Amino acid sequence: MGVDDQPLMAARGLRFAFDATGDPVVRLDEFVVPRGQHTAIVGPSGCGKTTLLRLLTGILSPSAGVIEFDGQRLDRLSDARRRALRIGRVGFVFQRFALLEYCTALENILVPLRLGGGSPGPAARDRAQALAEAAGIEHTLARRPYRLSQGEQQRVAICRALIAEPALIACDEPTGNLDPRRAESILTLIFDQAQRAGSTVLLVTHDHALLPHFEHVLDMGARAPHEANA
Amino acid sequence: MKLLPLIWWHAWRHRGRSALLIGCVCVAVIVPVLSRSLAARFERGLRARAEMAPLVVGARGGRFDLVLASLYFRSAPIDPVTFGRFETLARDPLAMAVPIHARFTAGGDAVVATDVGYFQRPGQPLAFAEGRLFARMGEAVAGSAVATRQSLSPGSSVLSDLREAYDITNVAPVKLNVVGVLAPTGTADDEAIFVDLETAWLLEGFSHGHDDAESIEREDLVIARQGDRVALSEALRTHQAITDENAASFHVHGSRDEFPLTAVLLYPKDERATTILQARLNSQAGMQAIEPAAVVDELIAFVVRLRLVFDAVSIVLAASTGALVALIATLGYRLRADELRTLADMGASWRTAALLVGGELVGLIAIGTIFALGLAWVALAVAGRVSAFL
Repeated sequence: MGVDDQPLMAARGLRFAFDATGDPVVRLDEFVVPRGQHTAIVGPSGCGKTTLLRLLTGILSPSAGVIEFDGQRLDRLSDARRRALRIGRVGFVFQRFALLEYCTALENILVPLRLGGGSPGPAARDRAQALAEAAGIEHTLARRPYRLSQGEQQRVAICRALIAEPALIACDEPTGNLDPRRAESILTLIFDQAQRAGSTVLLVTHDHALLPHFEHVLDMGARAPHEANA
Repeated sequence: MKLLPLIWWHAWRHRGRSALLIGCVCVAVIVPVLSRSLAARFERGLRARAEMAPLVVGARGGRFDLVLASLYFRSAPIDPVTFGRFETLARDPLAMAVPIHARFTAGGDAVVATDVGYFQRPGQPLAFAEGRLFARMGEAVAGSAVATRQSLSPGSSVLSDLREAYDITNVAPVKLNVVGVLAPTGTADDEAIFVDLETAWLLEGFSHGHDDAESIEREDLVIARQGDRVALSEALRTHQAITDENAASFHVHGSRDEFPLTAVLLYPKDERATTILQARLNSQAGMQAIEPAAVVDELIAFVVRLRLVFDAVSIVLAASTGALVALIATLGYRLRADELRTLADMGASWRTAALLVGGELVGLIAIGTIFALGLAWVALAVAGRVSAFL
């Protein structure tokens, strides 16, 4: 099996509780995120979808179990190395966009590069421009978030997630605040850009209507969370 | 460095808050810096001037008033010492004596009558920026600050001020012809107009010049004739300016020995002479010989006490600014909690968060401090121009 055939992420025997004595909020025996494909984590509010996404991306450490990211044991890495891995290899799209209000759209798109070290050069700015054109927001680059519509803000957030050409794009309810038509267009944008960058998409949603767009789905709402091929 | 743009953008796009913090830091820094610098300069200026003369001799009375009047040319209510006393001191081989008469003003600035000894005093001779020393009655040398303020230069003139505007027995203003301007000294010399003692007698009304009594045609101006002596009416017009033509007509009425001086500066030849002179003069009725340096030290002790008040104010200001900085830091951290959490999720370390919040605060404090130091520098430069002691 070649590297490209190996899953980007895998979790086994995963348990997570916010305090040592409490019941685990995440209980997952086996879960695989295939490389270069689109995987959805679905379930009702409060079922632990976002917590799982945070575990899989190394923001949280599991109470028990194994998490692998591109063959690396994420659960064994130090906090600093997990941070470095997130900066270099994971792009995030948050539910409430989480743009920096004091930065323009362009500056927001370039933030991951600043966190990664060094100032973004002309090449990075060209790439940001190209991403913005693909997302249809090239005319908003000089504006600050409060002067953007919700849809424009979400597109800026997607461009920010893609700027470092990450291996994984982790999206937490990116369409939660949008109507179905706009939700679909956002999803299309994420998939298109991910395909161009060769990125894998892992997306959390409670909206079952979006599931036909995904090759893999993990249903957290089921009595025992299980994977399904859509 | 990579985070500098983020720090700058945050500070710039919250510029009201940034300006408030910079302003508070600026005030907290400038008050102690300026008050201490001004006090230090004031002390240095006072001390340097006080050390100009080892002994000041004057009429018995307030020591501070005597020093202020004779060395700093400030108007002070002191009794005069006579010119006769000065002549006695001048004949003493133990010291060099310099007369000081500082009882009049011209254009609001002190007119100081003295002799050539003042300009050639030991250790601190005065240099001329232009022109020369006065050579006769009516000629004046302007201190540098006065020359600038009143636009005086050799060839120009200035009128003496009336002591009492409504006193009809006043001597009319006398035209003083400027023949020289002193180089700046940073002392009270910059703030005075210097003339010779003959001019002082003219200002006091002890001497005057008028047409020859023999040639007066109007008999109503002649009250009586007795041999060579002629009594003239007060209605006879006296000269208000000394010229080549009328200079010879000026003459003194009365005994010079009784004419008033503000003080006499003494330059004893050694410490022993200082002690002897001080003991001798202080034992004479109505006289005092004081060491101005000791008097000024007392004055400075008062200034130091005043500085303690400024220091207390500075501490209060620093504490309130510190509290404001802490408040802004705490509120800033809370207001930016979501942003910092997002950055942490993206992979930023706690150090990055600290740099973003702390770096901005440190930067604003640094800007406030630089502003304060710049303003203090300008204020000190302006103060130095306004006052010879600052």
